[in-house]
Amino acid sequence: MNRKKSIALLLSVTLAATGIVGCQSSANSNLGTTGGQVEQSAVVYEPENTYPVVSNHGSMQTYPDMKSVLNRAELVAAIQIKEQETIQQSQSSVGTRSKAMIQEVFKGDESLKNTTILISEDGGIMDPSKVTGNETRIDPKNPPAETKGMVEIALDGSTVMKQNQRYFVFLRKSGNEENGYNVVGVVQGKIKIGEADRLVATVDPKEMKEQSVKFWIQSQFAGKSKQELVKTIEELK
Amino acid sequence: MIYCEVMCYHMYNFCHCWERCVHMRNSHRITICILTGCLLAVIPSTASAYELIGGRFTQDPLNVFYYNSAGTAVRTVESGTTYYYSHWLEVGHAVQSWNNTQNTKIYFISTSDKSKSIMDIENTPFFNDELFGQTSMWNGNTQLTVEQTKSTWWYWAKIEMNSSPSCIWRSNWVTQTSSNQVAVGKLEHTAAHEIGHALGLNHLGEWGWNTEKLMYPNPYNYYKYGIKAPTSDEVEAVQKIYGKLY
Repeated sequence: MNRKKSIALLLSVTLAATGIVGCQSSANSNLGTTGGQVEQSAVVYEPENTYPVVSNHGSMQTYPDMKSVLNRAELVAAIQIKEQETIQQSQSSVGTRSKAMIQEVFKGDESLKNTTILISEDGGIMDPSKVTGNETRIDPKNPPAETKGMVEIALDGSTVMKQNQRYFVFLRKSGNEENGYNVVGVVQGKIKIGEADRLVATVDPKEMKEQSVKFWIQSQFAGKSKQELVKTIEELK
Repeated sequence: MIYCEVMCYHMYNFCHCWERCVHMRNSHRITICILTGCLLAVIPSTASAYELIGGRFTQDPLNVFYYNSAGTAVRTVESGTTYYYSHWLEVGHAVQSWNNTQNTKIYFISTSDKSKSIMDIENTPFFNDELFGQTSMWNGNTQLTVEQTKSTWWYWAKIEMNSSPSCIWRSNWVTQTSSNQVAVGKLEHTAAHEIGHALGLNHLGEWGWNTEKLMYPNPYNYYKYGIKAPTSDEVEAVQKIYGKLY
């Protein structure tokens, strides 16, 4: 075999390898973009937890794109959390009920502007000393360090909304009137509005990357202005 | 499927070239062998989809106890009709599906003594109607933090199933229908999925990618493919964590 042929052969093998690897990654990314890619370099992240976060792994209804979130939402609004109440759901679980002032309405009943609604989320601040009865269920070789103070329970690293802060939310009425409104997609349909109406992620970018199915709104819009999100919604209406 | 077709096309091209290289010099053969080796090293590393949390149960979950206190839950639909579903029964089916996995060190036995259990499964009335279940990892009375679960082992795990009457268990997001069959299947799917977390499996991250797996983070794979038990991918994952039985 002459030199040209051997070079052509080597190139062929290399291209085949590149093709397979490239095909693999493009299959991933193409399908991934349906739910939104994590643009870590553009993400503005501001954690809101005051206490250590203990995370629960959740199974929930999630939505693949803005259109489906928008279709599911009965009320899309900019809100400010005014008051909050933490409610014990079980010995080791809590939920948070927030009274929120509606500042702007982007979808839904516009007469709700400047009124207060109730939003219920799972997770929140908990006193771990209330959990008892598991003293024998311990690894004797690696006993846990004593937990002092409060902790915050978060679903897949997503903490509940916080008092006095502003958020852009996609809401639906809960089937249980006591709960008022639920966030669409549990952890999906909310993003913090920071200073100068800039959107801010409250989920750790590492978690966002690992769970892009859930956190694509935060990863796509954190760092951008609120108006960009409004524009996206208006285009889909 | 598209990926497989493209891969086959490339493999065909590769084989065709290989036929022609039998007459080439040794140095070229060695180079091609190295490239082929690299190629083969890439393929198996991307074949598995599973993601691991990092931590795991302290002990191998073989012949260990679980405590199932998930009782009957009520579902109320918009028309006002009320349905009753046994979470206990569907949790039992989910545990059985894990017990039936081949060549894994997994076998849970039911107990009524909570202190002996390494996996508690109970009902909790969550606030959000779209939350189906959640899992937390524990050592004694201490729940592990996010970072700890990535590197620390847990002695026991707690699985909570949504028992709120308004939870959307009956809704099929793909066909936009609601039925008892969907509710029962989703209950089993969620319980089996949460057991996966308790064992150390993480969610699969990409939308639409590898959805025919149990550890996709919502019941989409149940709506579309009827998956409600561990697939070969989850079996491979627990074999990786705890080793094979034989």
